[in-house]
Amino acid sequence: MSGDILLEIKGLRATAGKTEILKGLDLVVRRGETHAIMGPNGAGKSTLSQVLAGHPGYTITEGAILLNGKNLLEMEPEIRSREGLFVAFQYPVEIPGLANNYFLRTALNEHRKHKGLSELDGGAFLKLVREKMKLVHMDPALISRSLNDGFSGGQKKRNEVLQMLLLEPELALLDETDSGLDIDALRDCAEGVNTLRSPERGFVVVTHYQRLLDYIQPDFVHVLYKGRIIHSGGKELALELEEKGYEWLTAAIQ
Amino acid sequence: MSAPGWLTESRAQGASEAARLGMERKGDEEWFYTSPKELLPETLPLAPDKIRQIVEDQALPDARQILVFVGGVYMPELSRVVPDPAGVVVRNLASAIETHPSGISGSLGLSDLPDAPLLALNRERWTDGLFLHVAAGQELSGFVQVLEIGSGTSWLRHLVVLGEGAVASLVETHVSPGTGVTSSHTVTEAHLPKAAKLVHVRLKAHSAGGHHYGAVVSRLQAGSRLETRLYAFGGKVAREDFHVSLDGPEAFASLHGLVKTQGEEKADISIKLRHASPDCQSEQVFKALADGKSQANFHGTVYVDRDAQRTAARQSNKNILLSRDASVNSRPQLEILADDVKCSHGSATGRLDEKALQFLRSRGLSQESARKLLVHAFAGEMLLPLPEGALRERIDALLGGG
Repeated sequence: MSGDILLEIKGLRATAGKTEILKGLDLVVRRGETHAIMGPNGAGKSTLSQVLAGHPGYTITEGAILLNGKNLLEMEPEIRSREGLFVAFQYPVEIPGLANNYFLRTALNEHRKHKGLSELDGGAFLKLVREKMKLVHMDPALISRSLNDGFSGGQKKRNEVLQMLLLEPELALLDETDSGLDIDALRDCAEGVNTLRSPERGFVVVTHYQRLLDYIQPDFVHVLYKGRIIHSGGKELALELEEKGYEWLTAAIQ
Repeated sequence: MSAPGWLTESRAQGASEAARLGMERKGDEEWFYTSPKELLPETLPLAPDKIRQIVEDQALPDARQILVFVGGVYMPELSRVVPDPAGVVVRNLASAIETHPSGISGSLGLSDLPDAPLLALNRERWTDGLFLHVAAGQELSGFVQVLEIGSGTSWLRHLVVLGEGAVASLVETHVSPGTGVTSSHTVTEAHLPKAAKLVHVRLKAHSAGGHHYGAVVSRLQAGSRLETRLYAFGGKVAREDFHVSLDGPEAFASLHGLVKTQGEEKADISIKLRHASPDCQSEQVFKALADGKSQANFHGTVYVDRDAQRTAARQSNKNILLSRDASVNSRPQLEILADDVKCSHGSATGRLDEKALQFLRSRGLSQESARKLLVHAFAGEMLLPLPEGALRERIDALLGGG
């Protein structure tokens, strides 16, 4: 299946209220590829993540998003997830009172049901989740705590990656997973992502900084600016952006 | 055998108080959202063939003994009776009046506050109930279950009389199965002398025709402790009064309540908690979930008397509106006359967190299952004081259903 188109975004335009944020965005991600999206503040990076996840605060005015050839925009957020999309959020929500393990098991079992697999019982789930937690060096005690409640920035992001490891998406988008992370947490999160990389899966890594891309090496780097991808290149582009900033690319657009 | 004079007197006092107050209570702040009359509808008896099955379903396997009342009548053949250990009396109140008159005549009805119409009516009309006595210094292991099955209109009064330093646990479960209109009136009166401790749980699971007036009336002496937990589900009209007075120093009262309403149900919680003595502590933690077109009301008042210095009182009421047409009224109140106190109160009402819902759905949970998880997240802490077991599982299931 390697090389098939996994995600196709065509001429996507999206508004929040009266403001148009995405203005004709195109992106194709094939199986086995990792794409990085970089760009200055306000370019629309987070909007892209939210639109993919199905956030109700955005209206799609034009364009299409296909996941595995299926119209993503017609799917409810939970169906997108079960169909193999995962968005790791920049600001994971805290839900006091909801036990992390209960949440994770419920999510995993919804996915398993969707795939026609049997649900995992408590014991089998615990074994699996402990194994995955080790991969991101996550404190085992956090499994029985309330979801992200009082977690540090690093613990929250590790928890996002843990969810990804459990749900094994075909296409994962990481929205500034590196923001607010120390080097250890950054490396743990990146390693978590790297263990999932395979010829069947695709990744989109949205980031401000080249640093994350030292750990998760992309095949392609795109520059998002004013709601469109204005430039694409290989992984060396990230280094170039780190050195030169965005102005040499954005000046022509102004 | 004719009723003893003190009892005839007690009933007559209740009757005249009820008549004086009336059941309309227009303009009475205590009955702002519901009138006592709404809790006195025309009722129907339950079909007797259903009763045995209900008892089987509702009996808690880990209870040390179970007293079953149907429509206010004690059913010994459906109850699970065990011999009382020395110093302990667990039996129905009507028979205890004959066997243990002295323990009852000096207690029954004496904690009732004035100006409480349905409490007074209960004092007049009660037919039976539980009598629980544990002698000084003894601890009753496990818990006693009282199972009340609503049928017609019923009047129960449970009387708990503990000795100094005695410890006991009581779990009341109330059901009104079927579709008929029922009205259950249950007053639990607890006398807690020095260093006594009572853990009291009241679970109400009523059907759409069920009406319930419940009251917990208690006076606490020095160093005693009352923990009362209400879990209220269903019922067309439900009202719960808590009248608790901390009469001796260093007493502690903890009142928790979780209420869930749906359809056209209405549930009132009304609390009068008095700090009458110094160095006492109290906490009130009440949460409600209102769905459909239902209404959940909370009116909690803490009174701190002039002499009740170094009082610590905390009151919290949090509510979630699960639908557009549901409503919640929250009135937390403090009346403080002492000057050296630590009192806090807070009230918050909102909807399920949209961001949290959205997040859970983005992980593959259906809208319905995400809502369910958030409801449990909100209510879950109210279940923590309960030990693991059948009771907790039952409440958990009631939370999840619908």
